Amino acid sequence: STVNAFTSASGESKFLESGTLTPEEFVEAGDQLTFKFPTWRWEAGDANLRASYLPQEQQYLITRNVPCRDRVRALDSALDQIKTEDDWLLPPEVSTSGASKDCLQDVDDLASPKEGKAEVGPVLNFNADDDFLGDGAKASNLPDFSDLDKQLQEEDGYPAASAPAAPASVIVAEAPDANILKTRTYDLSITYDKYYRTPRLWLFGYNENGDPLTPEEVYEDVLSDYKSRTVTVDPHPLTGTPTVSIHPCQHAQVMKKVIDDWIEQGLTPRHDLALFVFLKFISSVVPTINYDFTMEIEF
Amino acid sequence: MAQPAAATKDFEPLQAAPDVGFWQELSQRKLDLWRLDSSNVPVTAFYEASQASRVPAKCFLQKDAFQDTRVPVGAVKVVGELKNFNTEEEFRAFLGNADARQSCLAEAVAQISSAIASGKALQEPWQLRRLLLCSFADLKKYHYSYLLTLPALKTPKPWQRVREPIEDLGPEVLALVAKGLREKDFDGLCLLTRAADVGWSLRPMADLLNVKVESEDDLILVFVDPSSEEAPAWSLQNALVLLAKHRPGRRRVLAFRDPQLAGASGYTSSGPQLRSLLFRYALDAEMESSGDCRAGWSKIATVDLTRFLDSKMVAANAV
Repeated sequence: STVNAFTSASGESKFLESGTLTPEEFVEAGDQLTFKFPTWRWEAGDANLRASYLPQEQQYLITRNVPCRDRVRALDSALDQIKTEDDWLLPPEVSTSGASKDCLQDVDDLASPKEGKAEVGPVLNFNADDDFLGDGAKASNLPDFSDLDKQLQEEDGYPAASAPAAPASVIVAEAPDANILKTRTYDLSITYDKYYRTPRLWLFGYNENGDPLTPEEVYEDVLSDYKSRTVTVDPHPLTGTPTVSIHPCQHAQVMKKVIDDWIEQGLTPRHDLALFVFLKFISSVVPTINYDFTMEIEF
Repeated sequence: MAQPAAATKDFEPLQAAPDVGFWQELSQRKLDLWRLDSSNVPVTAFYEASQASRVPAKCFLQKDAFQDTRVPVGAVKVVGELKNFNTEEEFRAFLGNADARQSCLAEAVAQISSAIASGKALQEPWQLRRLLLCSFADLKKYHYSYLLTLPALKTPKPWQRVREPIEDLGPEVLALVAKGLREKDFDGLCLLTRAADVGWSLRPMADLLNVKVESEDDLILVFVDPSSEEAPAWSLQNALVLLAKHRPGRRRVLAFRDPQLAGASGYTSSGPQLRSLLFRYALDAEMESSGDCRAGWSKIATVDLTRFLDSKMVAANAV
């Protein structure tokens, strides 16, 4: 309603002037999101990590098991050629030298002391000289249960089944996961960033076998324009697990642009629609992660 | 061996999906609480109606699995136990021994059978879904190996399903189901019934014995289905045994996979793509279980969580 757009419970909405949200406005936007898209839901998170300025049971939003079938590199070249009219989808140009470094330094309490190291091209600098095991090394250190697996599947695993009309004696023994196209999946969550006063998207990915993705693997699903400037790894505020997120430093600017567009069109900006705008923007950052968001934003 | 025309799975396996928080909590409890005590520990897991196609049917376990028996609103509760082994040898020995595996599941199977026979499962559908997660944690290396089973009662013949067009129900009815499941907690399983004056409505399983319908086609079992493949999820089996026991017949089963229909309109004029499936099963009275089970053990997965749990690594990698 018009009244809601201008006042909120805290009485200090800065939505119109700067595109930011108060905690109450975030909750209202989250309620709209879960109402329209029930595949997103509110969760309470770790009891020790909850914020007092948000309701206990509404600490963050999450949607799980979202498929991501392709990597961005397949789209990159196609996208280079598209000049979008909706350029509010892309954040304003940020120079790679000054402003972006500030963007990454602001929030991180865990900033690595090695942060001043030389950049390695446009890809986010990921410390290459620590003990982190690459895929090959990792695989060789893990215990091998393949024989045991085979035995289990033979003795009482998931049998594949008979075709509907086949007689009982004819059972086709098929590997349980034959014919399934395996895919990466993501659990996506949206938290309220107290410092920037905007939503913040967190991406926890799994490979085709269900193992967690490395940050480098997650970056394969982020549009290259964004990787070097806005993608970080931080402890998730409600789970504590190190998780990739899209840094929120640009979000308010993007929202402000949309608000200005709405005003220009004679519409009254609504803060409770903020997460629909947010998700539309995010879909341009991670275009191959197919979460439920497609809708025209209706007033 | 002769090849039948189109061999498909009868039921889609659930994939264990314990998150980092779950292993973190397990590690903590092992060190501080359980130590060498390897008794089974109660855990609560959950799954959700499939919301995309061609993704695994995940059974989620989180940090609060050990102490909280609540699950997120809209999720389907799976109650069970964790069997964590102290050494890799013990883990292997148990899994390699058919008798040990069988006897370990015997109690859960007995509870499921009894809940079906007595009808208790009609009041409490979660009694049909019991999980056993077996694990071995190498805490020094942050390697976690695990697999799960949801025992399904074995029937004298395999379950045969016949697929019927979902258009027989259509998007309005599916939206009604979606909204109904969202408004009330039916514990993952309920009935969709049609009455002349009121049309279709959702009812709890507890109404199975006394709801009157004009034709048995007006009584459909609604199963919240985490599977996104052709076959409904593994956990449907015990529900079929329950139905065959208390109201046999050739009955329709709705494998529900359209939770998004509970939301307000968000679809183009061409209409929503329905992903729910409608099946007909012969729920014969003879499909009574002997009490044996199909364990359906998942594959053994191992994850290396050094990057997430080793505090030095975590600090080094935070940028």
